[in-house]
Amino acid sequence: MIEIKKISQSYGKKQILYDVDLKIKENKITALIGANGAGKSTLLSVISRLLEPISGEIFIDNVDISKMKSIEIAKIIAVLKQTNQINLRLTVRELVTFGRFPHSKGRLNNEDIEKIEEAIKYLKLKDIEDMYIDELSGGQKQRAYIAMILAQDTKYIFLDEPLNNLDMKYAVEMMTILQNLVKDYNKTIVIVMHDINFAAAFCDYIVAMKDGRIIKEGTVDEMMDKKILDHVFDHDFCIAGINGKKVCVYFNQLTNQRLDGTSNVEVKKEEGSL
Amino acid sequence: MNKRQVKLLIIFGIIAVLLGIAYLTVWLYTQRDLLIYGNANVYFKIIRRRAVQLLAIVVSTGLITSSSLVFQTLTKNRILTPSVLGFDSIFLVTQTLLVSLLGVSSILISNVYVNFIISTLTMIVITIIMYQLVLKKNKNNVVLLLLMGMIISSLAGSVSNFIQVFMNPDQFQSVLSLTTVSLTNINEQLVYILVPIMVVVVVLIYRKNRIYDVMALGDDQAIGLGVEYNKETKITLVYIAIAVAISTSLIGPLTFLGLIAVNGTRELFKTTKHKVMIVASFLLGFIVLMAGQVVVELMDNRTSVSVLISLIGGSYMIYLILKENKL
Repeated sequence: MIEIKKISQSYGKKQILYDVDLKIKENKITALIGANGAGKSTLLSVISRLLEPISGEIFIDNVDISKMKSIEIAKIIAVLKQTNQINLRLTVRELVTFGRFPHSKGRLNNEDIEKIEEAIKYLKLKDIEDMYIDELSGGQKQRAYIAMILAQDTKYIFLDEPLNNLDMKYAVEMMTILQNLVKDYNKTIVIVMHDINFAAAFCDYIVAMKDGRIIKEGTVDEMMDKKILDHVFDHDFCIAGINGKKVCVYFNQLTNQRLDGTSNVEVKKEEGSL
Repeated sequence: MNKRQVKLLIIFGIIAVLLGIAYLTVWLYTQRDLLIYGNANVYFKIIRRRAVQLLAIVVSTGLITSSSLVFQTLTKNRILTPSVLGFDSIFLVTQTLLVSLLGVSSILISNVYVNFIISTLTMIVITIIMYQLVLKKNKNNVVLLLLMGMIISSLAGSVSNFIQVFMNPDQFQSVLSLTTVSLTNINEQLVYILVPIMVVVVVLIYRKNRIYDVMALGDDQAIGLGVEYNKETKITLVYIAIAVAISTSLIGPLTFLGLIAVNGTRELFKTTKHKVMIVASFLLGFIVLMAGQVVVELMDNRTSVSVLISLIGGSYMIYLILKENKL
């Protein structure tokens, strides 16, 4: 289990995180949500030791992460950041092979090759394994990176906005893959995301951040609440239900007001003309 | 490695060996008189001298190309090399300062080995400070870095000039003898002690080739895969500083050799594996350098090989910058 105690972080004089405490639920997908600049990505970087916190401790299975070797951590935690703009000419297979680095240090044995094959098959990359990643579409590229993470064979996976630049079809595909990873491989996944509806539809647990603090966490049902979301995003939401799932609508507030009365927008006189 | 890469490497190897032999024997053609008037003793001396030079050139080339390659990996650009950033003009300043501050008679100057150790240490310190100040923040701003390199080169040059004006002739003479090294003017005394060090550095860089492969993916990805990025960066910078210091003090500044060798390798081999690239860029660098040297000797030494390499390398660099800008 990963436990975070009193993590603070700042860039220069600007403090980003204030004494954040968090326990990450096992075998679940946790979404970190919040407005831009709330500190989600920074928190993710700190937990996955890409950034060193100014104060605070992180424990993996009760072992302090700062006392562990980087290569040992890499066998437990895999992380993917939002900007993966490498201008290297790598094939998909080469990229996935990098996932085995923590285990093999670059010298592949049979087990490594099996894991690589498995990851490529699992993400349906077999047909394009010899293509260069800069020739792939956004969705394929993202899948190749997930295959690398899968080959790394870690219990925990941290993803920073994996849905960026993906259209709806690929975004849904990506989230379904992540759900399957939890089911098939007992992974624990933490995702930073913007789209509250994607979080609600595919994640099990939602952690809401605002101004460098965790202000609320809970299951999807608890968190999909107008009061909470309004507070988290400083925005006027409207929660609706479709197919038994809660969906939030965050635009056309005037129309929402007329439809179900949950929006705060004052009904003005122009309403009549609609 | 695929078949094409193996084939290319073998071809490179053969060309390199042929050029090495050509270097050892080109005097038979350019100085035909010697064959008539010379004797076995003279021939032996010439061959021996050239063999030592060849050894120094082989090892320095390995150092220049491998350090340029890992420097590009660390800074994530494909255009700059340590020498383009003006790191080898720091060598000039270091030597000038040492002579002017300590005097000609100081053991730090007169003893080749002590002088070498001092100037190398100074260069390592300066290089690392430069890295902390300049490279860390502006890693991706190639144009700014180029500008910095230009400024550093000309600043270092002017400072050396300025100090040299105040020197007495003795001091000036000793600065000159320390700094005007070139392929054909190699300090033999240094070769024997430096070659082992250089081989060690090249081997150290080569042994980390798999780590550099991962580091090429970028900081975050490399840390995520368990590479201790900051530690590795610092160690590698020390290697680079040693490489620049040693190769400059042994065969003089060859600003564009690393650039030609590393980028030529990228284009010909189309690989990202440092293992292949270290070997290939070494062979390519050696071929370029040796071909240049042989051509220069055939032209009665009307120019020097460093000029020739600057000419080719400079044009190639302009081409690279134009190409990168288009993308």
